[in-house]
Parts: sequence; C-alpha cells; structure tokens
Amino acid sequence: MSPGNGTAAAERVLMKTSPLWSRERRGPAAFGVALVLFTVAVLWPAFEVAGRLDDTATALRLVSEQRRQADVVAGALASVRDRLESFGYVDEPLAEIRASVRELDGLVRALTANPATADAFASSPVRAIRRSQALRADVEELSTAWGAFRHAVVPIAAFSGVPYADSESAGVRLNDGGRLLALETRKAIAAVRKQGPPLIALLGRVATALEAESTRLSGYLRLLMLTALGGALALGVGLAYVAFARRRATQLLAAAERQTGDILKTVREGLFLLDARGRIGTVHSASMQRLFKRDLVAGLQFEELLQPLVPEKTLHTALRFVEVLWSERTKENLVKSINPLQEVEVSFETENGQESRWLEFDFHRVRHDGKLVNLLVAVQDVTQRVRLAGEIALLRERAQSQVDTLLGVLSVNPRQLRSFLSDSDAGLKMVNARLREPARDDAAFRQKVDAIFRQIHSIKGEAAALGLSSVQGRTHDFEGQLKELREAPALSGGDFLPLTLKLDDLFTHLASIGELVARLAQLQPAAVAATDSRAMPAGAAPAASVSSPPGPGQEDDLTGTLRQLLERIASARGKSARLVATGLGDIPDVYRRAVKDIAVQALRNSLVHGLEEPAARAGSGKPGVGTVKIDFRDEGDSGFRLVVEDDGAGLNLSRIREAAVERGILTADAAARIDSKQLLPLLFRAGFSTEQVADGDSGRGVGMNLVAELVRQLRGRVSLSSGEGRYTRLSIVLPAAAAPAALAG
Amino acid sequence: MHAARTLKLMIVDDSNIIRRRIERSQQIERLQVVGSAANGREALELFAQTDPDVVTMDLTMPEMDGIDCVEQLVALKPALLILVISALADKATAVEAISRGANGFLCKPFTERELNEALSELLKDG
Repeated sequence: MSPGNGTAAAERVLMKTSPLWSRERRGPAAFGVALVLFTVAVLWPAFEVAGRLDDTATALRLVSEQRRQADVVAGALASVRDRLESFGYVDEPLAEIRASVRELDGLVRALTANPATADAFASSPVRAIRRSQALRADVEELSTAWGAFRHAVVPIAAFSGVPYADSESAGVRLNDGGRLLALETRKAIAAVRKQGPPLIALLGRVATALEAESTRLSGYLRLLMLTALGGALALGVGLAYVAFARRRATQLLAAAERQTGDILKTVREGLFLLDARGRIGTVHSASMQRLFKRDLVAGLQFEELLQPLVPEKTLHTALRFVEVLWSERTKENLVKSINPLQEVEVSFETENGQESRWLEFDFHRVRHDGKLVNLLVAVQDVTQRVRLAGEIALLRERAQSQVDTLLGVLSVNPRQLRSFLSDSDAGLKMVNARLREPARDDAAFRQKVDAIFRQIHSIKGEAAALGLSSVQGRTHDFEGQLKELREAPALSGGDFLPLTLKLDDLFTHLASIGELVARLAQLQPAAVAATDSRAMPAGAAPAASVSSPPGPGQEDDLTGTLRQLLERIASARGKSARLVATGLGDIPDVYRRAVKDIAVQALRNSLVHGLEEPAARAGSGKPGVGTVKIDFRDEGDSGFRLVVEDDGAGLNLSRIREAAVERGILTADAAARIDSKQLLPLLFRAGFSTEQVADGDSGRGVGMNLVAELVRQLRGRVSLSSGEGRYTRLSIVLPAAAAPAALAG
Repeated sequence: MHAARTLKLMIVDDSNIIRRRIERSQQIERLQVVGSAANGREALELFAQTDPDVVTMDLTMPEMDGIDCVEQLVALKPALLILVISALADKATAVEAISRGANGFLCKPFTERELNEALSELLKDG
C-alpha cells in the first residue's frame, strides 16, 4: 500500500465520518462571516465618517482662513483713502483688496458649488455644508452678505492706472480717475462699515457650526474606532480559538490516522473496501500483500485480484454474488451461506511451482446515512483450518473404517475371513501383474481393464457377502475408476497410474485386516477358537481349536458366506428370502474359488433383480419369503453342475430389450424381433446392466459377464432360463477335469 | 412495514416433510400459511389465488424449477419476500436464485432454530 495515497484517503474518510471534524469545520466559516459583518458594521461607517470629517475640516479651514478678509478689505480701503489724500502710492492696498475679493469669491464658490461634481474620494467642503440644514441657510445668507459687500468693493478693485496728474502749473493733484476713486473709496468705506460686521459674524457662525460638526464627527469616529478595536480583539480571540481547534482536530485526525494505520498494518486479515464498480479502495490492510502475493492491490478490480487464483466458474459465481450484495432486495445475513468464497482454494505461481492455499472472504455492507456505499471485504487464510478439518475427516473415516472392519471381522467366521483374505491377496497380485503387463494398442488396454474389473468385482462380491463394508467400499470406488477407463474414448498406459494407488490402498487395507485378525487371535484365543490352525503360525495355534471340516448339520464356509450375503442384501432391499444350499461342502478345491464367485454373483442377481418385494409376492399368490436354491453336484463323467435358481419374477425381457436399445447393442427394431433365446445371452456381455445407478450390490453390468468369463476360462458351459413370474435359473456345467486356466483364477 | 399485520405465506417445496416443518415454525405467529405448492407451476397458480406476501421456495422441483419461479413471482409482485430453502449442491445455482430476485437462502438440512432465525431475518426491515 502506498502510504501517501493511504493517508489522503484516510483523511477523506475521517473528514467524512468524524463528527468532531465537521464541528470544527464550522470555525473558519463563522470567522469569515464575523469578518464580513465587522467590516460592514464598523469599518464602512468609519470610512463614511472619516470622509465627512475630512469634508468638514476642509470647509472649516477655508472659512477660518477667510474670516479676517473683511477686516483686511476695510484696512486696505482706509489705506487707499489716506494715500489718495497724501498722493501716496495706492497700488499696494488695491492689490490687497483684489486678493481679498478673489479669496472670498473662492470661499463662497467652494461652499455653494454643486456637490455632484465633487470627486467622491477627495475632500469636498460643500458636502459638509449640504449635510446640515442650518449650515446651508447660513451659507446662503453668507453668500448674500458677500454679494452686498462685494458690490461695494468691486469698483475700487477694478481701478487701474495712476490717480494723479502732475503739471508745472498746478503741481501734483488728483486726476479724474483719482477723484472718482477717492469718491468710490469713501462710499465703499461707508458700505463696508455697514456690510462688514454681518459678513464677519456669518463667517464666524459658519466656522463655529463646522467646528461643532467636526467635534461631533471626531467623537463618533473615535467611538467607531473603539468598537473596531473591540471587534478586532474579538476576532483575534476567535481566530486564535479556531486555529487552536483546528490544530486539535488535526492532532486528533493524525492520531486517528495513526491508529487506523496501526490496525491496518497489524491485522492478520486482509481488509479492503469494494465500491459499486467492483474497484478495490485505496486503503487496505498490509496483510493483503501476504495473502495475495502481490504489491499493488489498491485501485485494482476485484475481478483482476481473483482471476489468476480461482477457476473460471468460481470467479463468475463470486462476481455474481458481489453483485447481489449491492441489491437492496438481498438480505445480507441470509446469503452468507451461499458465499462462493467462503472457503476457496486459491493457487499461486511460486518459485517452487504451484502453491495452493485456502482463503475465506467475508463481505459486509457499509452504509452512510442508510445508503449502501461500499462492501467491506475481510479475507483470512484458513489453510490450516481446512487442512486440519480434512485430516480430522480422514482420521474419522479411518477410525470409522477400522471400527467397521473390526465389527465386520468380528462377525465373520474366522475361517471364511482367512479364506477371503488369501483369495483376495491372490486376486490383487493378479491385478498387479495385469497392471504391469505391457500393452500397446487400445484393444490390449481394454482387455486389461476388463480383466482387472473382473478380479476387483469378485473381491467386492465376496466382501459384500462377508459384510466387510470397508473392503466393499474400496472395491466399489476402484470399479468406478475402471468404469471411467472403460468409457474413455482412447486409453494409454498413463491412465492406469491412478489404479496402482488404489491397488496399494487395497493391499494395505487387506493387510491391516489380516493384522487385526492376528491380534484378535492373540488377545482372545477363545473368541477365535474356530481359527483354522493351518492358517496360523504353528506356535500360535490355540490348543483347543475346533477342527475345520463341518460336521453333519453344520454349515460349510461357502454356505455361511452366501447366507450372510443373502440376509444383508435382502434386508437392505426390503425383501424377505431364504437360502437352500446343497452340495457346497463338496466342491473340489480347484473349482472352489470359481464356484464361490459365480454363486455370489448369481445370488446377488436373484436378490436384486429376481425376488419381488413381499407385497408383490403376496399379490401374485406366492409365499412372502422368497427362496434361492443353490445346488452343486458331481455328475460323474459329464462333470459338475452348479444350479442357482430363485422363485422370483423371472427375467424382465422387455426391460432387457430396452436396456439393449439404450446401450446401443440392438436397434429398436431388432430388439422387438428377437426372441428370448437370443436375448438372454446379452446379459453375459461386459457392461450390460438394466440398472441406472450402481450401488454396492448391482448395476455395473459386470456380474454376469464375470460368470461367463469364469465359465469360459474353466471351459464350462453356462445357460440361463426364466419363467415369467415364476423363476430364473442359472445353470453351469464344469468339466470333470479342471482346465489349467482355472488355477490362475 | 411488516410489523403490524399478519403476512400471508406460501410454501413451495415438493417434500411434504419440509412443508410440515415450515408450517410448524414459531415465526408462523406472524405468518399465516395460505397454501403449499409442490412445484413452480402450482406455485404460480396458488400465487394468483392467494396473493401471498412471503414465499419459501425449493429450487429443485419437477415441472418448473425454483429459479424460474422466483423470477416470475418477483415480476408479478416486486415487494414479495422470497426465502429459498434448498440443498446447497451448487453455490452458483443459489447465487443465481438470489440474483433473479430471491431475498435470502436457507440451506437444507436446517434446524428449527435456523428456520426461525431465517424467517425473522427475512421479515426484518432493511
């Protein structure tokens, strides 16, 4: 995980979710609003007042400056009068009068100008006047007073030239202009004496009013400044608080982030978020790298993460599952059991080849304000748990199988068991030999499969007869594998490899049964008193062992085995049956194994296919208990005859026809045409079965084929006959002198 | 939304035993069984007659399987609550049933308690 991205995302997440942060975020906003309010409420009026104060001060300065001009004019007029009398120089006082008139003109213009023409940001005295009704009246009066005053003075100011004439005869005297000037001056002095004081008083009044306004405005401005100072202080404090709160929030955020980081770094589970588009979030636990053996997980599509690890079908189902979690219809807690990634095997390419581990993905919905925003995915490595569970299951199975075996062994006549073990051992050695036999073409491989099949089937049959379910189960599985080979389009040597494993397992299992029997013999000599002393090591033979050949009225081994088989299958199939066996104790050794195999097959067929259920039997007026007769007899030169006959329903010819058509052996037409004599031999073909599903007792279509094969090897003859609703009879004739092939099994 | 009134329940399963077991559930206090169907086709007929609010649905049945039935029922009544009760032979099938509109899944075989919990989870809002 890249820490930069992670930090940023953590911050985003925390900012979104932490109420603390959202509260703190209000600080700066409030500060901004306060600043704006402060500006509007305090600084803007202050600016406004400062402008007014400036206007007023300018007006006051102008008025104050020109206040004495009336006196100056009066003085200058007196000076003009005096100088005219003494024929002095008048230009200087006249210039003074002109200047004063200009100044006062300027003052009145300034105080009465149109305020609209004034520059908004420059000081304007007229604005100061216009704001006050009284001042405006005073200035109007002032303007009028100045008009009268000016009227008196203007003729003087307008004078130019020299007021004197200088002649030899008369000397220096006033000329015409001078006399007019002197006259006007006297008139002006009189007017100014009258007009001057009101003008001065008015100027004083305006100055006083302006001064008062100025004082008022300064006071107001001071108040505003004081307020501003207070506001600024408050803002400062606010700012400090916001800064402090922000710092605190940042610290808390950093701490939260550190904690989140610590959790994500330490947690053993792979934790990440999936968004609605199936993308993995930027923050995830560090263990993701370990679990998925890749560096870049953030931002990856979930599909990309899974794709190299799981089979296509699992991937597809997993993506569908994630999709349904986004649907609000789906109840999160009610789909946990169907999570296809609940315990999923993933495989990684490593330096040492393929490595397989088990992962558990757990999905949790993440909601913000009730809205589904993410899926939190927690991934755990459950390899150890799964392996342990597997081991436990295996151990349990083994223990169960040992118990089964023990129970099986305990319930079996030890002599039958020994005979079974030695026969099976021989059979398995045979299988082993066939497996090692070289074969080149497909036909040879198929022969091999068939031969092995017959051996295994024979062992299965006997195990079933003895009730050794652990052996029966193993041989049934073995048969299953052989059946797959049989159905494979082409065979090669490699296909047989898995069989050797199965074979090993069977060898081991049979050896363990042998051991068990030996141990039982040591532990409980009395319980195994019937042990065949021939099969025991000489020293271990119990002293009080009973002789093996059955006496009159005592059952021989084969009859016992067959009776057990009959009882077991009958009860499993809900049927009721009895066995009537004759002559089985007199079978020559050379035929013993073959007869046993044939009898087991035939008995099984009778029970599975032949005998009806008690209700059906009662319906057809037969006794509820069915009978299977097995008879072996020596017929002298014509050899030995084995007959297995049941009083069941007979062969179901139409079912056999159907099966022949289903299996492609006959066309529907041919099946309909041929008679029972032609039809029945089909039952001896390899793989022919009328059952759809194989169980431990029937259905692989190998039993009758095994019979036919055994009979063929022994150079005997086999025939099958049936009466519908009455009986099925298997009749076998074996030659008086056994064929050597029979010895090989 | 479902707290106050009694809801009508339709059971769809081809096994009598399972139907009985669901009918006996404690959650039945809030649910009134309006009928049982043994396959999808019967379920659609029964739905038209009884207008149930809640359905328990088996997946593997003759005539019409549960997945098609789920889809058709949801199309008829989007607010319908459907709990699939089936053996979990293949998770892909179960996921398919949910993606067609079932709300949840209960795996057969189930205990009394598992059934009660699943039904109350189904009736819970949100």
